[in-house]
Amino acid sequence: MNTTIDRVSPEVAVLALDGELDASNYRELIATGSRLYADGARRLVLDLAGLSYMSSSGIVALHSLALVFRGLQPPDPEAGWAAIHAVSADTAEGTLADQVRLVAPTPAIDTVLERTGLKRILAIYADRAAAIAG
Amino acid sequence: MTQLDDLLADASLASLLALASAAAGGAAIGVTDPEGRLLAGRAVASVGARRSPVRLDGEIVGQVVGDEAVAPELSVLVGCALELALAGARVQAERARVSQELAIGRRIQQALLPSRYPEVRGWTFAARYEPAREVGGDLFDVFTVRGQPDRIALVIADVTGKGIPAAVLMADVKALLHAATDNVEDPAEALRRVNAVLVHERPTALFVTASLAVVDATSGAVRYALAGHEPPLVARHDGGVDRLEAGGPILGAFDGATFELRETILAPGDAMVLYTDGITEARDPARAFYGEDRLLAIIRGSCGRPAERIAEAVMDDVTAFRREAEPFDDLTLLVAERRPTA
Repeated sequence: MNTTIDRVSPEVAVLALDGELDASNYRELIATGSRLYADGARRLVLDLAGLSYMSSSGIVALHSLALVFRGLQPPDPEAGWAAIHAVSADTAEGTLADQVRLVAPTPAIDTVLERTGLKRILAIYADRAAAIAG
Repeated sequence: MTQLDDLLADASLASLLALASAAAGGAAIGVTDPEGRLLAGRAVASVGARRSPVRLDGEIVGQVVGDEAVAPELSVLVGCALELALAGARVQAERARVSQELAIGRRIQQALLPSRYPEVRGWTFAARYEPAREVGGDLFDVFTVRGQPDRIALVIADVTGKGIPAAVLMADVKALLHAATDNVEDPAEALRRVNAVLVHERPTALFVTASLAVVDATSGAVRYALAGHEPPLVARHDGGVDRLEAGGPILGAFDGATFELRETILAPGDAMVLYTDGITEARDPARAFYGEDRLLAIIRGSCGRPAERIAEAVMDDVTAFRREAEPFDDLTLLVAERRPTA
């Protein structure tokens, strides 16, 4: 998967994902998003137009990023035992984590977002401009 | 205690020092800890000794010490060889740790799988479980609901993640799903309770997808609910295939999540097929996905056949599709067949 960062303003970063998001690269995505947050970004727009596949690890990444942009520290999903014991705040169903916005998922990705429930907390926009402006 | 200690028992360290000594015309050369205590090789009189540090991550972990006859380049060369060996040993140890953790997780997981199916008149069960080397945290279970011998629960679940954390969560989820199914009215309520426990009492970065169905063995009525999981399929005896969709998010992520309760009926000769995404996301060597369409086609071709034959047909087809490609994720399949009436 390739990622392209477009820092449209100090508060807003657009991250375009291209290729496949799976167990081999989802931690990188969490790290990239966390760096942007540490660097002052407070809204993350994920452009999914070029993303052809997302495994369940991708869901973990999106959920973790929703926590990061709410100012929380998600546990490393692969930190061995720590992943079991670390405390992660949850997102209540129906509460939109507005700080992370998704743009233009393909039908295949849309199915995964719908099935796993991610759509219940992450808003989806048709294009970048709407996600940046809204 | 130095990181060098691990290398001391290795015969190649003695060979290295002997070789260096020979190259210096039999001069004394040895390895000490950072404080100068001899660890290997020969002691060198401190007067006129040449010292060359051995570093790991910028930290001095020892010294190569040679007497005057040892060329400085030779001490440096021996030092470099030790640094390479130390770095290599560390990579090796990390790999061994990861692979050991994966193996332990695998053993826990396999111990959780049912060793036999409940005996229920008119029903046959079949399952396949093929573990992957890397990712994987699949679980399936078949049991009769407590106090209701006529009701059979079918469970299939997939924990994101791998190794011990995934296996421990899997054990937890298996017990929670079983207890919830025994104690509440329907599968949707069972998933709601399991989710609440996971969210409030077992906060982790891992999630679970699950599909839970409770079958009435006499009437064939099925009540089911899904948590972010692939819809189970029903192979109808007359050749049709139904996808059993039901709305519901992954377990362990959302506070207050609810799950849709759906129903269907299995007639004699019908079979319900529950599976994990390791099947539909199996890849061929060109990285194409097996996909739900191909699964639907193979199930359609297996309608009216016994549970074992359906499971076999699916696994054979996935194997043929995958060819030599390694399975990346666990493959799990559970079939519940309502036997045709004689």
